[in-house]
Amino acid sequence: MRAFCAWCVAEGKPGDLGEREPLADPSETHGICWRHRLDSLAAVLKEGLPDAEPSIGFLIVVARTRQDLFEEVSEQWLSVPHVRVVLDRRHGERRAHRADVHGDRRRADRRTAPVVFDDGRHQPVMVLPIKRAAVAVEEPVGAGRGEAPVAETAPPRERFREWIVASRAITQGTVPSMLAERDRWSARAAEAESQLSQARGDLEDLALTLAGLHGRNDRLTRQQTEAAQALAAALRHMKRAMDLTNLAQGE
Amino acid sequence: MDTRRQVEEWLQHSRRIVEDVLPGLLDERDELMRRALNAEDEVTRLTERAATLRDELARSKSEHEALLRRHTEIAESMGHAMAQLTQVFEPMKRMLGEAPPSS
Ligand SMILES: [Zn+2]
Repeated sequence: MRAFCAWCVAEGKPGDLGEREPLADPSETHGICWRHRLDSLAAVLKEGLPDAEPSIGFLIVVARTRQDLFEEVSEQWLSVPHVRVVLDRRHGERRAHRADVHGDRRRADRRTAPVVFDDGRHQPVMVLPIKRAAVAVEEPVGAGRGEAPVAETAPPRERFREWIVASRAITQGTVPSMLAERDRWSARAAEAESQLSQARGDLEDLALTLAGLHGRNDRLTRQQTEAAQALAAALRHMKRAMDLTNLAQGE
Repeated sequence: MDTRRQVEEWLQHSRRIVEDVLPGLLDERDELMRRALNAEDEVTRLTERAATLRDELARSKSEHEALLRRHTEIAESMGHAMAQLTQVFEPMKRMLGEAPPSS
């Protein structure tokens, strides 16, 4: 089975992606070449990552055998936030296996991670989604702990380049966003505390008004009780007076 | 300044940033977050309390109006009673005035 890049074909280019399993099958299938994959990544980043996914980034991994492509792609993506370009330190079977693992994971995560790239088994450049830790080191999704993308045995120039890109991500991305987050919380705390003092004042006023009203109601109730008692006494006196009057008139 | 010293000074500076400034920033953010969330909770609690007090105030106001109405009624009743009392005492006064000397 022969694969072609659907985007290349649409542009009238050959876009041959090579043979795929099953090899006996003479029909054609379609995929996407790495150049078009990078184009679509650029388009996605231009749209902006969803706010809910600030921790998502992308790792562009270039085959170790293609130093030329690494230079080219690094140059293109050097100043793009959320993206790092690294040389794959794996070779042969391990690389193919790793690509499979990532391909499977991405298919499994298709629902939560809408941006899905093929595994790039036959291509010198692949794109991997990565999770960026809150402060610091970017780590490929599911990569083993402590597995730096560039081996410690890599040449100093390459390690420096890697380190500069990572440090730039920290100093220009993570640290400013930490500061911004601190400022957001500071503003939110100030706002909430001002609302709190306002609410305390309101509550105090309400309690005072209520206490005054309770006092007036109590006084009225007391006065009315006294008036009712006085009225009853007056009626009793009146009755006695009437009895006496009747008695006197009878004599 | 030679390169080695320059690198060492830069390394020390970076270490202070990483070991003091960044954790301090995170602590400060946590503290602000705690303050903001506490204050927001307290505002919610006080707002609910204020709503209860406002209900109570409305009840007390209508109670107050009822008491004022009753006050007027009682005053009127007292007036009637006084008038009646006067009516009762009038013949008594007359009778006492007309009464012959007891001796
Ligand atoms: Zn293509």
